[in-house]
Amino acid sequence: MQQDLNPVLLVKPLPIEAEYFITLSNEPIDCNDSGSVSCGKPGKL
Amino acid sequence: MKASRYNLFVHHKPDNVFIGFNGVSGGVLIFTPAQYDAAQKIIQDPNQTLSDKEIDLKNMLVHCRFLIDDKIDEIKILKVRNNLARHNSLRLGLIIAPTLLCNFECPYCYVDRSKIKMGDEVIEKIKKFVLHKLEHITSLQVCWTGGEPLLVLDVVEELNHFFIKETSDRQKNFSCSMVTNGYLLDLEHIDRIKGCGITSIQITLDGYKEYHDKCRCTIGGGETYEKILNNVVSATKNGLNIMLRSNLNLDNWEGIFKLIDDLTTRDINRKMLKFTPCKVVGKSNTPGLCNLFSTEEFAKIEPQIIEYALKAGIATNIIDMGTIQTFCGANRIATYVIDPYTNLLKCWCNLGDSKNNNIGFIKDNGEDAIDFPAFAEWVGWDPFELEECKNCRVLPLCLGGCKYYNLSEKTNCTEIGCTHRKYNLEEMLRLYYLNLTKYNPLQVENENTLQTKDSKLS
Repeated sequence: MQQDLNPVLLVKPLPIEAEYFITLSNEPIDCNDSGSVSCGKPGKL
Repeated sequence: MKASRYNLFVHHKPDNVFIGFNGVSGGVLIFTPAQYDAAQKIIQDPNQTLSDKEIDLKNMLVHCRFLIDDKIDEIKILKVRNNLARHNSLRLGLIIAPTLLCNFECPYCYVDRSKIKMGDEVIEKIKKFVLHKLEHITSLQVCWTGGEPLLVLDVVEELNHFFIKETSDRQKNFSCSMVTNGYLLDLEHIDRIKGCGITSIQITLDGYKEYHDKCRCTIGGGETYEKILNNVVSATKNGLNIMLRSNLNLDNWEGIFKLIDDLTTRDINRKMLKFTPCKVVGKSNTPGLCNLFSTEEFAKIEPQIIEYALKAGIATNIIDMGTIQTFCGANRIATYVIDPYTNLLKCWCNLGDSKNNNIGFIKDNGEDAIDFPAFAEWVGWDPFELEECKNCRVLPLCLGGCKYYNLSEKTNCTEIGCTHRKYNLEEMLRLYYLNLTKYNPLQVENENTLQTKDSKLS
């Protein structure tokens, strides 16, 4: 008998673009504005 | 169906699981070896005949967009997503330097430490500027920087109280943060900061005490490490979110572990602290200080530092592998840096050098006067025109990286503005998994994460 093949969903995917028909609002989609990586500027940042 | 070009799978041997990550959706799946083998078989030939259990697995792969429809062009999706964010004018972002004066004398500082402080006339111009914009936006995000903004906290308070009232009257959102060296952040200043709507603070410690005190000293060379760290403790205990940043270079990075050890001995409210090691760009004015990492060199040490911090119970905000809309506000049409003369800039690295780098100014009546070619240089810069970016596996995570670093002659760089994630993606994905499942499991309670064995598609 084949075992359960479903992996664990650890982080949900971003919902946008999951469907073909979405309502485009003027607000940006709900993900980070920036900076999964810090920008690395020098000085007192 | 076809495979996404932004799939990444990493085998985490201690748990004998495979971590699957899709860069466009940000979804993460954890596979047993058998599940991984079955998934790879489906990804390699998505259109084959499948059993019922394999169909469930395929649906999960589609849900997280490891598999996508043949007609989907992921680069176009990323490009449009990026353009929508960059050209969104509903969210106004202002980075304001109320003074360029500073009580520190860091050898690598790029800011011209003039003694200028915003006067009443300038404050009134900024108020008019914001009033002009308010009717057309939904939210106002302000970040105070400098110079040292706590030296002129009266200016910050006056403008912030104005922003709070005007946004509240119009039912607009307002949020505010501050970048400070932390030296003056005593209890009185903490109260005043919180009282004018600032909720998060960025403070820098450049490694452990010995190096930090050489690099981030008061004018005249006074030590600052102990005082700043004591202030960080007070701030976290009094409800301020602190992003504790460390600028790392070849000379100080090995001491960062002692700093992390030191943090664990302090009476910090750790829920309010995020630690962020950063690679320094630019040049030091002092020989022997701040010899810079290449991006690739930094990519090698970053995971070591992050893992050490996570094991010590110190959270970090650069562990996040989530998708982004834009790398930096400098590329957005509605983000401005305002200097004490009401010049408008795009990058705070240009503070103190507005003569060569401004993109406009605020007129007396509060309208903005934009130097359109200079503005277009920033906003028109497009990573999707660069073949190296279009073909890069980390494009969804960096969207071209730092425009300043990419194009500025001042940085004297020989690399394009790539992030170090390009070189350590596998290792950082492994840490992302460990952070969510082991080191900082509370994070999985947020709405974007799940951690259940039964997380099948409904």
